[in-house]
Amino acid sequence: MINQDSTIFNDLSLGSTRDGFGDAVYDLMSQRDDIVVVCGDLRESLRLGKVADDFPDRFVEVGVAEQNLIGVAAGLAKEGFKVFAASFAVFSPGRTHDQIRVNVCYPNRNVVVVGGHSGLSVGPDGATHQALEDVAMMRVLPNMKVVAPSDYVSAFELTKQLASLEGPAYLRLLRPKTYTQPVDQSYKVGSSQLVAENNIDSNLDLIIIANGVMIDRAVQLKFDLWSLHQIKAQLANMHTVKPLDIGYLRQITAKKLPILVIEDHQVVGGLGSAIAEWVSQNKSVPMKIIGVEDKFGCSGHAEQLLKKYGFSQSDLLKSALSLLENQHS
Amino acid sequence: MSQKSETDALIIRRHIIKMLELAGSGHAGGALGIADILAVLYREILRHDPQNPTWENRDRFVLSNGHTCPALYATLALHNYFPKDELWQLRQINSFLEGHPHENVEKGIELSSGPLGQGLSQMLGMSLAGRLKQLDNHFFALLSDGEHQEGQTWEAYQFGAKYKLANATVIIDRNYIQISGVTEQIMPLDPFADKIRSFGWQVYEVNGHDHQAIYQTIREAMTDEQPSAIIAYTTPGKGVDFIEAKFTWHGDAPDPQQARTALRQLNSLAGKLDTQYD
Repeated sequence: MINQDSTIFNDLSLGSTRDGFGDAVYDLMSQRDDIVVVCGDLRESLRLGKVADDFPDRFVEVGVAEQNLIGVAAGLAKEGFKVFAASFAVFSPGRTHDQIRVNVCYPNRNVVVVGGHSGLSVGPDGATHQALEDVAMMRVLPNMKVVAPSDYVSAFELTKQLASLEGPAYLRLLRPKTYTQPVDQSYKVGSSQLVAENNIDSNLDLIIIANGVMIDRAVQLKFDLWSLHQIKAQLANMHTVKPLDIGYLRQITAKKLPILVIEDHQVVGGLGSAIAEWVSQNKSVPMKIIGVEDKFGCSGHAEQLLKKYGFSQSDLLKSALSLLENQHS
Repeated sequence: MSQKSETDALIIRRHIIKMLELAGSGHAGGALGIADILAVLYREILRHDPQNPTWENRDRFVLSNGHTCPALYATLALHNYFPKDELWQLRQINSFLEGHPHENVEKGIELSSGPLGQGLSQMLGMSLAGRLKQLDNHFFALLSDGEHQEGQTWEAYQFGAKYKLANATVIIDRNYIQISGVTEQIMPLDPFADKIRSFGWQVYEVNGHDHQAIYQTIREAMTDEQPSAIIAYTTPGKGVDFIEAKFTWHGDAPDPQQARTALRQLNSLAGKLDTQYD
C-alpha cells in the first residue's frame, strides 16, 4: 500500500483489516452463542467465508438487499443478539442511512454496521465504490460509535471489543493490506494509541492524527519530518472517531501543539472535522486537515489515487511544513 | 369468540378521535381503519401479558406504518399497558406517545417506526431470532398498502420466503389510500395478492372489519408452514362518515366540532352493541 524508499517498514508484517475482522468474528462466534452475522452477498470480500461454513445457523445471507440487511439485523438485535451487519461502505451506510438511523440508532440496538472497502484505497473500481462520506454519515447519528482500524491487529482487537459494547457501532474496513504498526498500548475503542514512538515524547513540534489506511503514510511522514528536518512529531492512531478521545485532545492542546490530520475521507464531516469541532470550542491550536477536498474519486491503482488526491509522501510533508511555518502567522 | 373485540374496537375509535383532537394533528384515516384488526389481535390472538410486558415468549406485534399509532396506543391503554390518561398526551412534549412510535417494550410498543417500508424486515429479523432461540411464539407485523411501494418491503418478502419463517404473519391494511390520493392512481399495487404470492408467501384476503373473519383467517395463517400475508380490506376512517374513504383524511386530525360529530356517530354505533364503554 505504501511506496517508500526507507527501510522503516521492513520488519513489519502485512495484513488487512478485513482479515482481522473476519478472524475476530470467527473467534467470537466460537466463543459466544449470541453473535449473529448478517451479510449482503459479500462473504468472501469481507472474509466471512469460514464463518458462513462453520456457523450456518448464525450466518444470515440476505443477498443484494442492504436495506433489508439492516432491518433484519435490527430485528435480531432487538431479540437479544449481537449482530454484525456486513456490506461495503458505499452500500451500507451508503444506502441504509435511514434504516441505521431509525432501526438501529434510535432504539440503541446492538448492531455493528460493517462498511468494507472504504475510501480511495479501493482503487480501480472507481468513484461509485469509494466511500468517502461514510464517517460523516455515521458520526452524525446519536448513539453511534465510529471505529476505523488501520491494520490486521487493530481490526481484530477492536472488532472483539465492539461485540461487548452496548449500542450501535460503525466499523470501517479497508480492502488493501497495511503494515501492522507497533503501538504504545493495546487498542481500545474510544482511546488513541501512539504509533512508532521512539522516545521523543518531549519537545514535540507537531501532532499527527490519522486512522485507517493513512496510518502507514503518517508513519512515513513522521519519519521524514525527523530525518529530513529534525522535526519531532507524535503520531496518534485515532481509530475511534466517535466517541472522540477528548483526553488525548486535552493533553495535546494544553501543550499548544499544532495538529495535522490525515484521512482517506472527505474533509467535510470526517475525523479532522470531528477534532476541529472540539478544538474550536475548547483549546484553539493551529490545525490542518488533509483529506479529499469535496471531490469524487476515480479509477486507478490505490497508490496512484492517493497521489492524485494529495496524499503522496511529498505532499504530506509539504502540508506538515506549511502548517508549522504558518502556525504563528 | 366473544363480542368483546367489537366493544374494544369502538373504544379504540373513540379514543383515537379524542387523542387526535387534543393533539391537533395526526393521522385519522388509517388509525380508524385498523381499529378492528388491532381489537381482534390483542383480545383474541396475541399471547401477551401486560403485567409482564418483556416476557420473552410473548407474541410480538410490530406496527410498520407508524403513522397509525393512535390506534396502537389506544389498544395498549385498553389492555392496561399504561393508564388511559396518557393517551391525551399524544404528541405532547415529554410524553412517551410520540407522533410516530418509539420502541418502549415496557409500555407494549415493540418498534420505532414511521419511515415506511422498514417494519417487515425488522419483524422477520425478530422471528428469525425466535427460531434461533427456539421460542414457540408468533411474530406479527401490520403494514399499510402504500408502504408496499417501498422496495425494502419486497426485499423483506424475499427474505421471509428464503428462510421459511412460518412463525411470521403479515397483516396488510388494504385501504387503497395514501397521502396524495388513491393507491391505484399514485402507484398501482394490484394485482396485490398475486405479487405477494409470487414471492413465496401464503396469501389470504379478508374483510378487515369483520371480526369473526379476521380471527379465523389469522388463526389459519398462523398454522401455515410458510410465512403468510393477510390482505385485510378496510375502509379508511371507518365509523365516521365524513372521514370514511377520503384520502384527504390520511394525515389530518378532527377539530373540536368534527370530533363532537365523530363521537356522536361512534356513540350511536355503541348503542347498537348495547354495552358499556368509556
